[in-house]
Amino acid sequence: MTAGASASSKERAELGALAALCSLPHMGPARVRALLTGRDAPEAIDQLRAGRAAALAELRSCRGVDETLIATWRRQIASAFEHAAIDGHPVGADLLAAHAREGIWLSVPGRSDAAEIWESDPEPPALLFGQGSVIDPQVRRVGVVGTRRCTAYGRTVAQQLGSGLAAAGVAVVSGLATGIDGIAQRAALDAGGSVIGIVGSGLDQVYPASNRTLWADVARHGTLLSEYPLGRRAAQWQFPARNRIVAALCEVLVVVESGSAGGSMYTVDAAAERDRPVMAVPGPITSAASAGTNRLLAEGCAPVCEVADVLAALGEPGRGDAVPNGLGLPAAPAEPLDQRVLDELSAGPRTLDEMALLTGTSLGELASSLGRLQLSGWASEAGGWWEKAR
Amino acid sequence: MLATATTATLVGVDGHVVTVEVHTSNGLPSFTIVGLPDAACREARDRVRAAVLSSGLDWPDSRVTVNLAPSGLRKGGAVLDVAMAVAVLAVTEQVPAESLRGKAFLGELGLDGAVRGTAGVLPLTDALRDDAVVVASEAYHVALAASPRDVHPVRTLGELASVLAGRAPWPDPPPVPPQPSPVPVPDLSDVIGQPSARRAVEVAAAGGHHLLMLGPPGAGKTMLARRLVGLLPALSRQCAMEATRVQSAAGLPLPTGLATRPLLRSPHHTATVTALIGGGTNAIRPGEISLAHRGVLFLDELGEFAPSVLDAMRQPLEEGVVRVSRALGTCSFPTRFLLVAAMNPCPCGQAGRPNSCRCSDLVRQRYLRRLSGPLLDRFDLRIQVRPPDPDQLLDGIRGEPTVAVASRVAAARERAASRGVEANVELTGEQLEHFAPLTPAAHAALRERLRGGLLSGRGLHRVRCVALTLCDLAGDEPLVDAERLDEALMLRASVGNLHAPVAAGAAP
Repeated sequence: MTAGASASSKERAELGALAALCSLPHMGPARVRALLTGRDAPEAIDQLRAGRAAALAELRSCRGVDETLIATWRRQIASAFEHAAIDGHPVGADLLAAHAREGIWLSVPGRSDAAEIWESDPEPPALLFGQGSVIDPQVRRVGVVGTRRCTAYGRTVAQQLGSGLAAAGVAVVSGLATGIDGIAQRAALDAGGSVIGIVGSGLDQVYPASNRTLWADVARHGTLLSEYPLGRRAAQWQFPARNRIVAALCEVLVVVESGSAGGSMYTVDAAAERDRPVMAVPGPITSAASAGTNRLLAEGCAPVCEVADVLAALGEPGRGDAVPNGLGLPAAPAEPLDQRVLDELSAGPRTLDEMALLTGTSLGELASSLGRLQLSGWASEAGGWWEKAR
Repeated sequence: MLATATTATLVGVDGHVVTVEVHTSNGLPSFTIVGLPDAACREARDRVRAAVLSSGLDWPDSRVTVNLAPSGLRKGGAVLDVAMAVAVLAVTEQVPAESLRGKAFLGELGLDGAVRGTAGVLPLTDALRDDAVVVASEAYHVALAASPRDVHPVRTLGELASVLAGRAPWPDPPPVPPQPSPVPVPDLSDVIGQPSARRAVEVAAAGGHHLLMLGPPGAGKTMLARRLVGLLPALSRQCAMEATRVQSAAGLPLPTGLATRPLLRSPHHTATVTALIGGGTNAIRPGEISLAHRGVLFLDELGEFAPSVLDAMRQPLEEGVVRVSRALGTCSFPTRFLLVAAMNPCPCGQAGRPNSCRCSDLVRQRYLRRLSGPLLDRFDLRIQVRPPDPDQLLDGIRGEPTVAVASRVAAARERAASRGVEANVELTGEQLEHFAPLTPAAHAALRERLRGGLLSGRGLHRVRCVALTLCDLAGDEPLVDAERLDEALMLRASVGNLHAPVAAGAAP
């Protein structure tokens, strides 16, 4: 069910009440679900306001709900009812209007076009706020996630996966974070592919701020989703919750780079819980940014060596023909010095001083060599550190 | 009865001539100073009276009025003491009034009659138009540096009175202090390994390019900055005058008269805008950026300076002069200095290899955001300083000494001088086009980098300028080839992740 011009007044009342419920602080999907057992949203919110024992009992059975929290909810609902009474609208109508003004649609996952995705989900969101196009269940979806602190190698792989999947007509699902997530989605957008971005704050609360443009581009050319209403600030606990939606929405999850502990590992757990195949990109065993992915491979996860591997796991091996070069390598450097420099970089990031010492060349020659490698995409520099980018 | 004596007072770093008029008349004995004296100047009443009496001279038993003309100018400090005293001696006919003519008097008096030096002797002497200047013995060499006129050093007021009365000749000047050794310590040979840092320091000294060093604590950033000063050539007479003027006005010790070596100023990061730029409540004093004029301003822990303080430096950095306006008036201070800054790449300082820093993204971004883009743009050289390689440290092989590098720097500076500038950093775009043409290969390489988003149009000019300095250091023809350009680009590394994602994202 999606709010639109065609929605009946009963549906609108129901959506409004649901939005009002989801706007309450600390009202997560489990608590909303508990409240909605055996009653619809307008009834539920009415009972909560009136303090009916049955509704409260359901809530009290949820973990972490105490009387203070219930009192806060009831206070907020009472004030929402007062405002609604003054305006002469049902509760939550103002919320619906505010979201409609921003071009945001509301969708109840279990009753949307993509309901089948959520059918067997252990923890479906109670309500999704979206911008851009609605999820088309016909389009295949691959999650590309990874660390925020990626290396040059991870950046290259994320870019190639993003553009490769876009070329194969597969949607890239990710969390719009700094690092791998954002890079993959940017590459997919640039290649004209479809993207589904799930964020951990209200759709007007851009986080991280450096991704503002990407955020807007996803909303314009793809689907931007959030579990939270407008105005909800980013909070630490909301990101793992966001990651479970990433895991639920993708059909195959690819981890490009991840430390042994991190948000991506949460997504991996959530994907495993939902029987989504998880794949990992192998990295150097000396790289901290690949510790988690290499561990996944050791535990039996399928490796990703080219885009076709992902497409095969998706059950669409034929689509690989549309992908230009997979994760192909550029031509090997011609100059012998360039090759020597590259060999030194293979062991991990190096500073200019280390390179000068190891290769025994003058700074000028070394600079020329690194410049050539950078332009041909073999090496990249960040903060004075040189890395092999492929 | 009336007598006058000439002296000068300091406003900013400029001297202004002041005429001291002393008038005695009948009435209750008193001593009044009029003509906008500040607190230190008003206290001269007690110092002058005590000094005259301690010197065995007589104080008039009448009403004494001192006027400091022009009366609209605010007079500060104790430098007018001696002029007041000799004018009082003249009005009481203890010295002949004619003996004061054609002379100016600069100095503070002690209660025992001793004549002491004050801040600003050089600009004050410079401002005077009299044939002879009488100064304290200790300020003799500074005053002599200012003008070729007669400078007479005196130690006490009694001595001065005897000379003016014609009872004694002028005392002999104090001996010339030994010049500082031409090779300054500390020496660059103490820096072991670290080729890129050594190179950057050399290029900074040769071309006058501002230098930003990023590195963890203990990597040797401060050590490098201290050695950079030693690489700079001795100041020319003109530059030395400009620098000494400011240093003298600020009351810095100038034992040899003219400051012939560039000065290193390293203010602490708690410095305020006023301390760095100049200003003050009672008098407008030059700030650290002016004290470092023709020298080096070293800002350690750049990230800890208040952003407002750093941004205040932008305009003086560009224009070479800062105008400080206060209720007291407006002063211009020269600010041509070499800016050397050091900072940690992030608050934890341990951001060694990529992905090893433990600071959160937010903390790191906040730290780097304190440096505004425009300020960062002023640094032509930005390098990462890593601790030296342990093997090299233990090998005990010392680096190239300061003397060898300094001679290359001096040669490069001579080339710059032949282009009509002090250092290459002052060259304009047109001059660069004329003095340092690009080879076709370099042209192509630059175009590629501009296209690839690895270089901004603004950075282009600076990179060419550094490349020219590299040519000068090598003693080559000033033709910029691709290798020099690459090295210049290398010495202009991205800072933290402030610029990196843009550049890296643009790479194919």
